[in-house]
Amino acid sequence: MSEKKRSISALKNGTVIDHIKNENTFKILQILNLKDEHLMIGTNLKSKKLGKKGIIKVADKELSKEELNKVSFVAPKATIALIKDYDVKKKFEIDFPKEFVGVAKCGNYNCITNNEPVETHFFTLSQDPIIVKCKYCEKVFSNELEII
Amino acid sequence: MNFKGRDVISIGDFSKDEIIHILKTAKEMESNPKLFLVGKLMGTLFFEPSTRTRLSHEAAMEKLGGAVIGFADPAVTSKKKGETLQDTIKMVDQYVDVIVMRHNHDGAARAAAEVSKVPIINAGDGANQHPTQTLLDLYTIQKSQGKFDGLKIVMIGDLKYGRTVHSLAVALSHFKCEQYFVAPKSLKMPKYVITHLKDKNIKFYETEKMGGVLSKADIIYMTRIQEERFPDRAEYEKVKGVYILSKSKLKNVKKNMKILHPLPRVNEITQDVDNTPYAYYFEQAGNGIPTRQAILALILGAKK
Ligand SMILES: [Zn+2]
Repeated sequence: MSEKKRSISALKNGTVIDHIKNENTFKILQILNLKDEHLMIGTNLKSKKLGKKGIIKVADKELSKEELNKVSFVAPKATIALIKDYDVKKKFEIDFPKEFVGVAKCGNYNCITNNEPVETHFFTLSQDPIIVKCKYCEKVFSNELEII
Repeated sequence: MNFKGRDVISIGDFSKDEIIHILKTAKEMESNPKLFLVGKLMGTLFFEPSTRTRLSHEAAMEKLGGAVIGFADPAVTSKKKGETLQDTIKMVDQYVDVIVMRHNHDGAARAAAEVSKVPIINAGDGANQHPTQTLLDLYTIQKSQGKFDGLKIVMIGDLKYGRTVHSLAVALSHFKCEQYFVAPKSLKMPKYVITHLKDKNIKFYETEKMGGVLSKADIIYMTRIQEERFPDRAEYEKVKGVYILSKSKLKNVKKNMKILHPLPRVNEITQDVDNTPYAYYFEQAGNGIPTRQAILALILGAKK
Protein backbone atom coordinates (compact mmCIF):
# COMPACT_ATOMS: atom_id res chain seq x y z
CA MET A 1 0.00 0.00 0.00
CA SER A 2 1.46 3.36 -0.99
CA GLU A 3 1.88 6.16 1.48
CA LYS A 4 -0.76 8.20 -0.27
CA LYS A 5 -3.38 5.50 -0.36
CA ARG A 6 -2.94 4.75 3.32
CA SER A 7 -3.57 8.33 4.39
CA ILE A 8 -6.84 8.47 2.46
CA SER A 9 -7.84 5.05 3.69
CA ALA A 10 -7.91 6.32 7.22
CA LEU A 11 -11.53 7.16 6.47
CA LYS A 12 -13.92 4.20 6.53
CA ASN A 13 -16.89 5.78 4.76
CA GLY A 14 -17.25 9.33 3.52
CA THR A 15 -15.81 11.97 1.24
CA VAL A 16 -12.34 13.40 0.77
CA ILE A 17 -12.11 16.91 -0.67
CA ASP A 18 -8.54 17.38 -1.84
CA HIS A 19 -6.62 20.15 -3.60
CA ILE A 20 -8.42 22.95 -1.85
CA LYS A 21 -6.76 26.33 -2.21
CA ASN A 22 -5.02 26.49 1.15
CA GLU A 23 -6.59 29.72 2.39
CA ASN A 24 -10.07 28.50 1.48
CA THR A 25 -9.94 25.28 3.48
CA PHE A 26 -12.00 26.54 6.37
CA LYS A 27 -14.41 28.29 4.04
CA ILE A 28 -15.43 24.85 2.79
CA LEU A 29 -16.48 23.83 6.30
CA GLN A 30 -18.57 26.94 6.48
CA ILE A 31 -20.33 26.63 3.12
CA LEU A 32 -21.08 22.94 3.64
CA ASN A 33 -22.24 23.74 7.14
CA LEU A 34 -20.07 20.98 8.61
CA LYS A 35 -20.38 21.06 12.38
CA ASP A 36 -21.19 17.75 13.99
CA GLU A 37 -19.61 15.52 11.36
CA HIS A 38 -16.46 13.56 12.08
CA LEU A 39 -13.84 15.64 10.27
CA MET A 40 -10.16 15.40 9.48
CA ILE A 41 -8.64 18.60 8.23
CA GLY A 42 -5.21 19.22 6.79
CA THR A 43 -3.81 22.59 5.79
CA ASN A 44 -0.47 23.95 4.60
CA LEU A 45 0.18 20.68 2.79
CA LYS A 46 2.60 20.69 -0.12
CA SER A 47 1.02 20.60 -3.56
CA LYS A 48 2.54 20.67 -7.03
CA LYS A 49 -0.59 22.25 -8.48
CA LEU A 50 -1.34 24.82 -5.80
CA GLY A 51 1.85 25.39 -3.83
CA LYS A 52 0.02 24.91 -0.56
CA LYS A 53 -3.24 23.09 -0.28
CA GLY A 54 -5.89 21.99 2.14
CA ILE A 55 -7.66 18.66 2.47
CA ILE A 56 -10.87 17.77 4.28
CA LYS A 57 -12.16 14.31 5.08
CA VAL A 58 -15.78 14.02 6.12
CA ALA A 59 -17.03 10.75 7.58
CA ASP A 60 -20.31 9.24 6.44
CA LYS A 61 -21.17 11.93 3.95
CA GLU A 62 -21.68 12.13 0.21
CA LEU A 63 -21.89 15.55 -1.44
CA SER A 64 -24.97 16.49 -3.39
CA LYS A 65 -24.71 18.23 -6.74
CA GLU A 66 -25.66 21.47 -5.08
CA GLU A 67 -22.94 21.06 -2.47
CA LEU A 68 -20.39 20.26 -5.17
CA ASN A 69 -21.38 23.49 -6.90
CA LYS A 70 -20.69 25.42 -3.74
CA VAL A 71 -17.34 23.69 -3.24
CA SER A 72 -16.29 24.44 -6.80
CA PHE A 73 -17.03 28.10 -6.23
CA VAL A 74 -14.30 28.42 -3.57
CA ALA A 75 -12.12 25.50 -4.63
CA PRO A 76 -12.36 25.21 -8.39
CA LYS A 77 -9.48 22.73 -8.63
CA ALA A 78 -10.64 20.40 -5.91
CA THR A 79 -10.76 16.64 -6.39
CA ILE A 80 -13.40 14.58 -4.68
CA ALA A 81 -12.93 10.98 -3.55
CA LEU A 82 -15.82 8.90 -2.35
CA ILE A 83 -14.75 6.30 0.23
CA LYS A 84 -16.61 3.07 0.97
CA ASP A 85 -15.12 0.53 3.35
CA TYR A 86 -11.67 2.14 3.26
CA ASP A 87 -11.69 1.95 -0.54
CA VAL A 88 -11.72 4.76 -3.06
CA LYS A 89 -15.02 4.06 -4.74
CA LYS A 90 -15.03 7.05 -7.04
CA LYS A 91 -12.59 9.88 -7.65
CA PHE A 92 -13.20 12.91 -9.81
CA GLU A 93 -12.33 16.53 -10.37
CA ILE A 94 -15.19 18.90 -9.88
CA ASP A 95 -16.69 20.12 -13.11
CA PHE A 96 -16.68 23.84 -12.89
CA PRO A 97 -20.29 24.81 -13.64
CA LYS A 98 -21.13 27.22 -16.45
CA GLU A 99 -23.84 28.64 -14.21
CA PHE A 100 -24.36 28.97 -10.48
CA VAL A 101 -27.97 29.02 -9.33
CA GLY A 102 -28.75 29.83 -5.72
CA VAL A 103 -25.13 29.40 -4.62
CA ALA A 104 -23.88 32.90 -3.87
CA LYS A 105 -25.38 36.24 -2.98
CA CYS A 106 -25.03 39.00 -5.57
CA GLY A 107 -22.50 41.61 -4.48
CA ASN A 108 -24.64 44.45 -5.81
CA TYR A 109 -26.96 45.61 -3.03
CA ASN A 110 -29.33 47.17 -5.59
CA CYS A 111 -29.67 43.89 -7.50
CA ILE A 112 -33.23 42.57 -7.70
CA THR A 113 -32.04 39.30 -6.10
CA ASN A 114 -31.16 41.22 -2.93
CA ASN A 115 -34.51 42.98 -2.82
CA GLU A 116 -37.14 40.52 -4.02
CA PRO A 117 -37.55 36.75 -3.70
CA VAL A 118 -35.61 36.01 -6.90
CA GLU A 119 -33.02 33.22 -6.79
CA THR A 120 -29.49 34.34 -7.67
CA HIS A 121 -28.04 33.14 -10.95
CA PHE A 122 -24.49 33.71 -12.20
CA PHE A 123 -22.83 32.84 -15.48
CA THR A 124 -19.19 31.79 -15.42
CA LEU A 125 -17.03 34.07 -17.54
CA SER A 126 -13.72 32.67 -16.40
CA GLN A 127 -12.70 29.75 -14.24
CA ASP A 128 -9.17 30.77 -13.29
CA PRO A 129 -9.44 33.30 -11.82
CA ILE A 130 -13.13 32.84 -11.10
CA ILE A 131 -15.16 35.59 -12.74
CA VAL A 132 -18.94 35.41 -12.81
CA LYS A 133 -21.65 37.69 -14.15
CA CYS A 134 -25.02 38.18 -12.49
CA LYS A 135 -27.83 37.18 -14.84
CA TYR A 136 -30.00 39.98 -13.47
CA CYS A 137 -27.97 43.11 -12.71
CA GLU A 138 -25.24 42.09 -15.22
CA LYS A 139 -22.49 43.04 -12.77
CA VAL A 140 -19.28 41.05 -12.95
CA PHE A 141 -17.65 39.60 -9.82
CA SER A 142 -14.68 37.51 -8.79
CA ASN A 143 -15.16 34.85 -6.15
CA GLU A 144 -15.29 37.05 -3.08
CA LEU A 145 -19.07 36.70 -3.20
CA GLU A 146 -20.86 35.60 -0.09
CA ILE A 147 -22.00 31.99 -0.33
CA ILE A 148 -25.66 31.42 0.49
CA MET B 1 -36.15 38.03 -38.90
CA ASN B 2 -38.76 37.09 -36.33
CA PHE B 3 -38.97 39.15 -33.15
CA LYS B 4 -42.46 38.04 -32.14
CA GLY B 5 -42.63 37.44 -28.40
CA ARG B 6 -39.07 38.72 -27.76
CA ASP B 7 -38.26 40.61 -24.60
CA VAL B 8 -36.18 43.78 -24.83
CA ILE B 9 -34.14 43.67 -21.64
CA SER B 10 -30.53 44.43 -22.46
CA ILE B 11 -28.80 45.76 -25.56
CA GLY B 12 -26.35 42.87 -25.22
CA ASP B 13 -29.16 40.43 -26.06
CA PHE B 14 -29.24 41.74 -29.64
CA SER B 15 -26.88 40.83 -32.45
CA LYS B 16 -25.57 43.33 -34.95
CA ASP B 17 -28.03 42.10 -37.59
CA GLU B 18 -30.93 42.36 -35.18
CA ILE B 19 -29.97 45.92 -34.27
CA ILE B 20 -29.73 46.85 -37.95
CA HIS B 21 -33.13 45.30 -38.55
CA ILE B 22 -34.72 47.29 -35.71
CA LEU B 23 -33.20 50.52 -37.09
CA LYS B 24 -34.46 49.70 -40.56
CA THR B 25 -37.95 49.09 -39.19
CA ALA B 26 -37.77 52.38 -37.26
CA LYS B 27 -37.05 54.16 -40.54
CA GLU B 28 -40.12 52.56 -42.09
CA MET B 29 -42.19 53.62 -39.09
CA GLU B 30 -41.06 57.18 -39.54
CA SER B 31 -41.60 57.40 -43.28
CA ASN B 32 -44.72 55.26 -43.56
CA PRO B 33 -46.64 55.08 -40.30
CA LYS B 34 -49.66 52.78 -40.24
CA LEU B 35 -52.07 51.57 -37.59
CA PHE B 36 -50.15 48.35 -37.04
CA LEU B 37 -51.32 47.71 -33.49
CA VAL B 38 -55.08 48.29 -33.44
CA GLY B 39 -56.64 46.17 -30.71
CA LYS B 40 -53.36 45.71 -28.83
CA LEU B 41 -52.97 46.84 -25.25
CA MET B 42 -49.71 47.97 -23.65
CA GLY B 43 -49.21 48.08 -19.87
CA THR B 44 -46.80 50.73 -18.56
CA LEU B 45 -45.57 49.76 -15.11
CA PHE B 46 -43.44 52.59 -13.80
CA PHE B 47 -42.34 51.48 -10.34
CA GLU B 48 -40.01 54.46 -10.55
CA PRO B 49 -41.29 57.63 -12.19
CA SER B 50 -39.85 58.78 -15.52
CA THR B 51 -42.27 61.00 -17.33
CA ARG B 52 -40.39 61.40 -20.59
CA THR B 53 -39.70 57.70 -21.09
CA ARG B 54 -43.29 56.79 -20.29
CA LEU B 55 -44.74 59.46 -22.58
CA SER B 56 -42.49 58.37 -25.43
CA HIS B 57 -43.60 54.74 -25.16
CA GLU B 58 -47.26 55.70 -24.79
CA ALA B 59 -47.12 58.06 -27.77
CA ALA B 60 -45.46 55.36 -29.87
CA MET B 61 -48.18 52.83 -28.97
CA GLU B 62 -51.13 55.17 -29.48
CA LYS B 63 -49.84 56.43 -32.81
CA LEU B 64 -49.85 52.83 -34.00
CA GLY B 65 -53.51 52.50 -33.02
CA GLY B 66 -52.85 50.59 -29.80
CA ALA B 67 -54.11 51.44 -26.34
CA VAL B 68 -52.34 51.96 -23.03
CA ILE B 69 -53.06 51.24 -19.39
CA GLY B 70 -50.71 51.46 -16.44
CA PHE B 71 -49.40 53.46 -13.56
CA ALA B 72 -46.83 56.21 -13.43
CA ASP B 73 -46.44 56.65 -9.73
CA PRO B 74 -44.98 54.04 -7.42
CA ALA B 75 -47.18 55.34 -4.60
CA VAL B 76 -50.22 53.74 -6.19
CA THR B 77 -48.64 50.41 -7.02
CA SER B 78 -49.13 47.12 -5.31
CA LYS B 79 -45.46 47.24 -4.34
CA LYS B 80 -46.54 49.46 -1.49
CA LYS B 81 -48.85 46.70 -0.31
CA GLY B 82 -45.96 44.25 -0.28
CA GLU B 83 -46.75 42.37 -3.48
CA THR B 84 -43.67 40.99 -5.18
CA LEU B 85 -42.64 42.24 -8.61
CA GLN B 86 -43.12 38.80 -10.13
CA ASP B 87 -46.65 38.54 -8.71
CA THR B 88 -47.54 41.96 -10.13
CA ILE B 89 -46.29 40.84 -13.54
CA LYS B 90 -48.22 37.55 -13.39
CA MET B 91 -51.38 39.55 -12.80
CA VAL B 92 -50.82 42.31 -15.37
CA ASP B 93 -49.83 39.89 -18.13
CA GLN B 94 -53.39 38.54 -17.97
CA TYR B 95 -54.64 41.93 -19.17
CA VAL B 96 -52.15 43.24 -21.71
CA ASP B 97 -50.22 42.21 -24.83
CA VAL B 98 -46.92 43.85 -23.89
CA ILE B 99 -45.45 45.37 -20.73
CA VAL B 100 -43.15 48.40 -20.56
CA MET B 101 -41.58 48.67 -17.14
CA ARG B 102 -39.21 50.85 -15.23
CA HIS B 103 -37.91 49.80 -11.85
CA ASN B 104 -35.38 51.05 -9.34
CA HIS B 105 -33.61 47.70 -8.90
CA ASP B 106 -30.92 46.41 -11.27
CA GLY B 107 -32.11 43.27 -13.04
CA ALA B 108 -35.82 43.81 -12.33
CA ALA B 109 -36.78 43.58 -15.99
CA ARG B 110 -34.98 40.25 -16.42
CA ALA B 111 -36.73 38.89 -13.34
CA ALA B 112 -40.07 40.12 -14.70
CA ALA B 113 -39.46 38.57 -18.12
CA GLU B 114 -38.86 35.18 -16.52
CA VAL B 115 -42.42 34.95 -15.29
CA SER B 116 -44.27 37.04 -17.88
CA LYS B 117 -46.22 35.40 -20.68
CA VAL B 118 -46.15 38.64 -22.69
CA PRO B 119 -43.00 40.43 -23.89
CA ILE B 120 -41.30 42.84 -21.47
CA ILE B 121 -39.68 46.06 -22.63
CA ASN B 122 -37.14 47.35 -20.13
CA ALA B 123 -37.53 51.11 -19.81
CA GLY B 124 -34.72 51.27 -17.25
CA ASP B 125 -33.78 48.92 -14.42
CA GLY B 126 -31.85 50.82 -11.76
CA ALA B 127 -28.39 51.68 -13.00
CA ASN B 128 -28.28 48.70 -15.32
CA GLN B 129 -29.90 48.91 -18.76
CA HIS B 130 -32.16 51.10 -20.86
CA PRO B 131 -32.04 49.39 -24.24
CA THR B 132 -34.66 51.47 -26.03
CA GLN B 133 -32.59 54.57 -25.24
CA THR B 134 -29.55 52.90 -26.79
CA LEU B 135 -31.53 51.91 -29.88
CA LEU B 136 -32.90 55.42 -30.32
CA ASP B 137 -29.39 56.82 -29.91
CA LEU B 138 -28.17 54.48 -32.64
CA TYR B 139 -31.13 55.42 -34.83
CA THR B 140 -30.33 59.09 -34.30
CA ILE B 141 -26.67 58.65 -35.22
CA GLN B 142 -27.53 56.69 -38.34
CA LYS B 143 -30.28 59.10 -39.37
CA SER B 144 -28.12 62.21 -38.94
CA GLN B 145 -24.97 60.79 -40.54
CA GLY B 146 -26.33 58.17 -42.92
CA LYS B 147 -23.90 55.53 -41.66
CA PHE B 148 -21.90 54.22 -38.71
CA ASP B 149 -18.64 53.06 -40.21
CA GLY B 150 -15.88 55.64 -40.14
CA LEU B 151 -17.66 57.99 -37.72
CA LYS B 152 -15.86 59.64 -34.84
CA ILE B 153 -18.08 59.61 -31.78
CA VAL B 154 -17.12 61.79 -28.82
CA MET B 155 -18.72 61.14 -25.42
CA ILE B 156 -18.31 63.84 -22.80
CA GLY B 157 -19.04 64.22 -19.10
CA ASP B 158 -19.90 61.57 -16.54
CA LEU B 159 -18.81 58.40 -18.29
CA LYS B 160 -18.56 56.41 -15.08
CA TYR B 161 -22.13 56.43 -13.82
CA GLY B 162 -23.96 57.19 -17.06
CA ARG B 163 -25.45 53.87 -18.15
CA THR B 164 -26.50 55.52 -21.42
CA VAL B 165 -22.92 55.98 -22.57
CA HIS B 166 -21.84 52.50 -21.43
CA SER B 167 -24.55 50.83 -23.50
CA LEU B 168 -23.92 53.15 -26.43
CA ALA B 169 -20.18 52.47 -26.45
CA VAL B 170 -20.79 48.72 -26.34
CA ALA B 171 -23.49 48.85 -29.03
CA LEU B 172 -21.31 51.01 -31.30
CA SER B 173 -18.60 48.36 -31.07
CA HIS B 174 -20.64 46.39 -33.64
CA PHE B 175 -19.56 49.04 -36.13
CA LYS B 176 -16.27 50.59 -37.21
CA CYS B 177 -16.57 53.86 -35.33
CA GLU B 178 -13.77 55.60 -33.46
CA GLN B 179 -14.77 56.46 -29.94
CA TYR B 180 -13.42 59.36 -27.87
CA PHE B 181 -14.08 59.49 -24.14
CA VAL B 182 -13.74 62.88 -22.47
CA ALA B 183 -14.17 62.83 -18.70
CA PRO B 184 -12.52 63.95 -15.47
CA LYS B 185 -10.24 61.35 -13.94
CA SER B 186 -12.80 60.28 -11.34
CA LEU B 187 -15.58 59.78 -13.90
CA LYS B 188 -13.79 57.76 -16.57
CA MET B 189 -15.42 55.04 -18.65
CA PRO B 190 -15.54 51.86 -16.54
CA LYS B 191 -13.08 49.06 -17.09
CA TYR B 192 -15.61 46.56 -18.41
CA VAL B 193 -16.47 48.85 -21.31
CA ILE B 194 -12.80 49.50 -22.08
CA THR B 195 -12.03 45.77 -21.96
CA HIS B 196 -14.94 45.08 -24.29
CA LEU B 197 -13.70 47.65 -26.82
CA LYS B 198 -10.18 46.24 -26.68
CA ASP B 199 -11.50 42.71 -27.21
CA LYS B 200 -13.37 43.89 -30.28
CA ASN B 201 -10.40 45.87 -31.63
CA ILE B 202 -12.23 49.17 -31.55
CA LYS B 203 -10.15 52.34 -31.82
CA PHE B 204 -10.79 54.53 -28.81
CA TYR B 205 -9.11 57.42 -27.02
CA GLU B 206 -9.45 58.68 -23.45
CA THR B 207 -8.73 62.24 -22.44
CA GLU B 208 -9.63 64.77 -19.77
CA LYS B 209 -9.58 67.69 -22.19
CA MET B 210 -12.48 68.58 -24.41
CA GLY B 211 -10.70 71.11 -26.63
CA GLY B 212 -8.67 68.87 -28.90
CA VAL B 213 -11.38 66.45 -29.91
CA LEU B 214 -14.39 68.65 -30.73
CA SER B 215 -13.12 69.47 -34.22
CA LYS B 216 -12.75 65.76 -35.04
CA ALA B 217 -16.27 64.77 -34.00
CA ASP B 218 -19.12 63.62 -36.19
CA ILE B 219 -21.23 63.09 -33.08
CA ILE B 220 -20.79 64.72 -29.68
CA TYR B 221 -22.73 62.90 -27.00
CA MET B 222 -23.01 65.10 -23.91
CA THR B 223 -23.93 63.85 -20.45
CA ARG B 224 -24.57 65.61 -17.20
CA ILE B 225 -22.06 65.65 -14.36
CA GLN B 226 -23.92 65.37 -11.06
CA GLU B 227 -22.47 66.76 -7.89
CA GLU B 228 -23.54 63.77 -5.80
CA ARG B 229 -21.21 61.55 -7.84
CA PHE B 230 -18.15 63.21 -6.34
CA PRO B 231 -16.62 62.03 -3.08
CA ASP B 232 -15.58 65.54 -2.19
CA ARG B 233 -16.96 68.89 -3.14
CA ALA B 234 -13.64 70.45 -4.04
CA GLU B 235 -13.18 67.94 -6.82
CA TYR B 236 -16.62 68.76 -8.20
CA GLU B 237 -15.93 72.49 -8.09
CA LYS B 238 -12.78 71.89 -10.13
CA VAL B 239 -14.55 70.15 -13.01
CA LYS B 240 -18.06 71.53 -12.96
CA GLY B 241 -17.37 74.35 -15.41
CA VAL B 242 -15.02 72.38 -17.64
CA TYR B 243 -17.36 70.05 -19.49
CA ILE B 244 -19.79 72.61 -20.80
CA LEU B 245 -20.57 72.99 -24.45
CA SER B 246 -21.28 76.55 -25.56
CA LYS B 247 -21.60 78.12 -29.00
CA SER B 248 -18.16 79.68 -28.75
CA LYS B 249 -16.54 76.25 -28.51
CA LEU B 250 -18.09 75.10 -31.77
CA LYS B 251 -16.11 77.35 -34.14
CA ASN B 252 -13.96 74.64 -35.67
CA VAL B 253 -16.33 71.71 -35.71
CA LYS B 254 -17.22 69.67 -38.79
CA LYS B 255 -20.25 70.81 -40.76
CA ASN B 256 -22.07 67.50 -40.36
CA MET B 257 -21.44 67.31 -36.61
CA LYS B 258 -24.49 66.75 -34.40
CA ILE B 259 -24.78 67.12 -30.65
CA LEU B 260 -26.80 64.53 -28.74
CA HIS B 261 -27.89 64.39 -25.12
CA PRO B 262 -30.21 61.92 -23.37
CA LEU B 263 -32.00 64.86 -21.69
CA PRO B 264 -32.85 66.48 -19.39
CA ARG B 265 -29.90 68.83 -19.67
CA VAL B 266 -29.05 71.27 -16.95
CA ASN B 267 -26.22 73.56 -18.00
CA GLU B 268 -23.82 71.24 -19.84
CA ILE B 269 -25.12 72.54 -23.17
CA THR B 270 -25.78 76.26 -23.04
CA GLN B 271 -28.97 77.65 -24.59
CA ASP B 272 -27.05 79.49 -27.33
CA VAL B 273 -26.20 76.10 -28.89
CA ASP B 274 -29.87 75.33 -29.50
CA ASN B 275 -30.09 77.54 -32.59
CA THR B 276 -26.94 76.21 -34.24
CA PRO B 277 -27.22 73.53 -36.94
CA TYR B 278 -25.35 71.18 -34.59
CA ALA B 279 -28.06 70.93 -31.94
CA TYR B 280 -29.87 67.64 -32.41
CA TYR B 281 -30.94 66.60 -28.90
CA PHE B 282 -34.61 67.45 -29.27
CA GLU B 283 -34.80 65.56 -32.58
CA GLN B 284 -33.07 62.72 -30.75
CA ALA B 285 -35.91 62.63 -28.23
CA GLY B 286 -38.35 62.65 -31.14
CA ASN B 287 -36.56 59.68 -32.65
CA GLY B 288 -37.69 57.73 -29.61
CA ILE B 289 -41.12 57.46 -31.23
CA PRO B 290 -40.27 55.58 -34.45
CA THR B 291 -37.67 53.50 -32.58
CA ARG B 292 -40.19 52.40 -29.94
CA GLN B 293 -42.84 51.90 -32.60
CA ALA B 294 -40.48 49.57 -34.41
CA ILE B 295 -39.78 47.61 -31.22
CA LEU B 296 -43.49 47.32 -30.39
CA ALA B 297 -44.51 46.32 -33.91
CA LEU B 298 -41.74 43.73 -34.11
CA ILE B 299 -42.25 42.01 -30.77
CA LEU B 300 -46.04 42.02 -31.19
CA GLY B 301 -45.61 40.33 -34.55
CA ALA B 302 -47.16 43.13 -36.61
CA LYS B 303 -43.88 43.55 -38.51
CA LYS B 304 -41.26 41.03 -39.46
ZN1 LIG C 1 -27.01 40.91 -9.41
